[in-house]
Amino acid sequence: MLNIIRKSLTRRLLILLLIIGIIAGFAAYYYWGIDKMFPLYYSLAGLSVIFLIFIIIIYKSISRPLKVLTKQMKYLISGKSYKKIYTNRIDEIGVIAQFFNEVTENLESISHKLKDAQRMASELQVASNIQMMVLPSQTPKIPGLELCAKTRPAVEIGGDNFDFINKGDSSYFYIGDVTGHGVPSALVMMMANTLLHTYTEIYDNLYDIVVNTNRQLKPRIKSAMFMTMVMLKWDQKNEKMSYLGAGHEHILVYKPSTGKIEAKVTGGIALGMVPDNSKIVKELPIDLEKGDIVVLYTDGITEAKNDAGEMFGLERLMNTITKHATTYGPEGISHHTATDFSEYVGNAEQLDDITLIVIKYTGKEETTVPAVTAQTGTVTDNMKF
Amino acid sequence: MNPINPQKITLNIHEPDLVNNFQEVELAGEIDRDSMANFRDQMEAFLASFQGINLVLNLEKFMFTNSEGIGYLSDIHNRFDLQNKHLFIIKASSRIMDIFLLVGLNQIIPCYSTIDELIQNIKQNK
Repeated sequence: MLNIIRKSLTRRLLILLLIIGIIAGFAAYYYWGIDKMFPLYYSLAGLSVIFLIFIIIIYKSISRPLKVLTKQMKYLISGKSYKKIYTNRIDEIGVIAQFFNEVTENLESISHKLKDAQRMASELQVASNIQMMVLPSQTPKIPGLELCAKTRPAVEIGGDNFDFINKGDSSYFYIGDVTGHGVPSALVMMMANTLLHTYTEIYDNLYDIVVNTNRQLKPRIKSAMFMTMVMLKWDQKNEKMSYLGAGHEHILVYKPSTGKIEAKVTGGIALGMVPDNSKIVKELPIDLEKGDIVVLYTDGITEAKNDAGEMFGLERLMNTITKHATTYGPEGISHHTATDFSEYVGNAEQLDDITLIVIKYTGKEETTVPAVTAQTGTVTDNMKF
Repeated sequence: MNPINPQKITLNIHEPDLVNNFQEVELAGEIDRDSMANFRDQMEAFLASFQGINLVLNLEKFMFTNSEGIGYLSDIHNRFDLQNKHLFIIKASSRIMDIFLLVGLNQIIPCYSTIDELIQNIKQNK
C-alpha cells in the first residue's frame, strides 16, 4: 500500500490534500459553527464535491501529462518505440516534455551516427580484406632469388602496394606508395595495381609498363595525389636485374663482399604527377653478385618518429640492414629490422603505411624458397611494429 | 604519442615585387599530418587573393614535408599551369631538395638556390 503511494507523485498529493481537507473541514466545521447551520452530512457532501473538483483539476493538469511523460520515458529506457510529446505548456511539465523531445532527438542522431559508423567500419573491413587479397599472400618461387615481403597499413586500408609477377623467364616486382593513407590512397593503389598487372601482361620491358601505367593513372586521380614506385625486373635466364624508378625511395643494395650498403636513387617522377613521363623515366641495371641483398621500402619506415619526435631515417635503416645482413637471410633481416624499428619508435602512433621487401640473390642452384614468407595476414604480426 | 601542433608551419607573405613581376611567400617549419590542414588553409586563403603570374616559395626555413605536402605543391603547380601562372621554389635546403629529387618534384617545379637566379630566369622567359 505504501509502495503504491510512493510510486506516484499524484497519489501522494491526493493523500496529502485528503488529509488537509479532512482536518481543515472538521476545524472549519466546529470553529465557525457550521455545525449549527448545516447538518454534518451536508457539510461532508460539500467537502466531497470540492475534493472531487480538486482531483479532476490535478488529474487533468498534472497527473495525466506526467503519466504520458513517464510512459514514454519508460519506453525509451526499455528500448521500445517511443513518441515525441507535443504540448504548448510552458510550465515545469512543458519544460520536461521539451527536454525529453530534445534528448530523444539527440539520441536518434547519435544512434544514426553509430549505425553509420558500424556500417562504415564493416565496409572498411571488407575493403581491407579485398586489399589483402590483392596483395600477394605468398612470395612466388623465383629461380635465383630468395624474397621476403612484409607490410602493415596505418589504418584499416592503405596506399602501400607491392606485388610479384612471373611471366615466362622474367619476374617483375614492384613496391609503391600512394600519397597519404586510408581509403583514397587504397583506391589509387588498386587502380595502379590493376594497370601494372595489365601492362606487364602486354609488355616485356619496365619502361613501357610504367609509362603506360602513368598515362592511364594520371587522368583518373586527383591532382594532389601520386604514387611513388620502383619496379624491378629479374631475368631468370641470365640472372640480371634491372629497375625503373618513379620517384620512389632509394633501393638499398648490400654487398657481403665489401660489407657495404649502397643507397641507389631510383630517379624518375612519381606516377600521376605529369601526364607523360616517357622522357623522364629510364630502365637501369643493378649489378649483383651472388649473396647480394636488395632492399625496397616505403617512407613509412624512414619517416616514422619515436616518442621524442625523431625520425627513424635512411641512415638508421641502412645500418640496421647492414647489421643483420651478415647473419641472416631475407626472412631474418626483415624480422630483425622490424624488431629494431619497433624498439626505436616505441609507443609512437603509426602514421603511415609500412612495407619492406628484402631480396637475396642466391643463384639458381642455391635458391631456397621459404614456404610462406609474405603472408600479409600474419607477417604484420611478426613485424612487431 | 607526439603532441599535435598544427602551427608547425607558418607563411610569411611578402608584398608583390612589381619590378621583377613575382610575389614571394616564405614557408617556415614543416608539413606533416598534423600541420597539413593548417598549411592548406593558409595557402588557399593566400591563393584566393593572389593576382600575380609568378609565385615564389622561399623554403629557406622549411624543414620537412611528407608526401601529402609534395602532392599539394604539385596540385598548386597543376592549377597554375591551367591559368598560365608559374610556381617557383627557392633556397630549399639540401634535405628538402633530396625529398624533391626522390619524388621528382623538381622536374615540374623549377627550383633555384638564390632569388637572383630566379629573377634572371623570369627575365629570360619574358
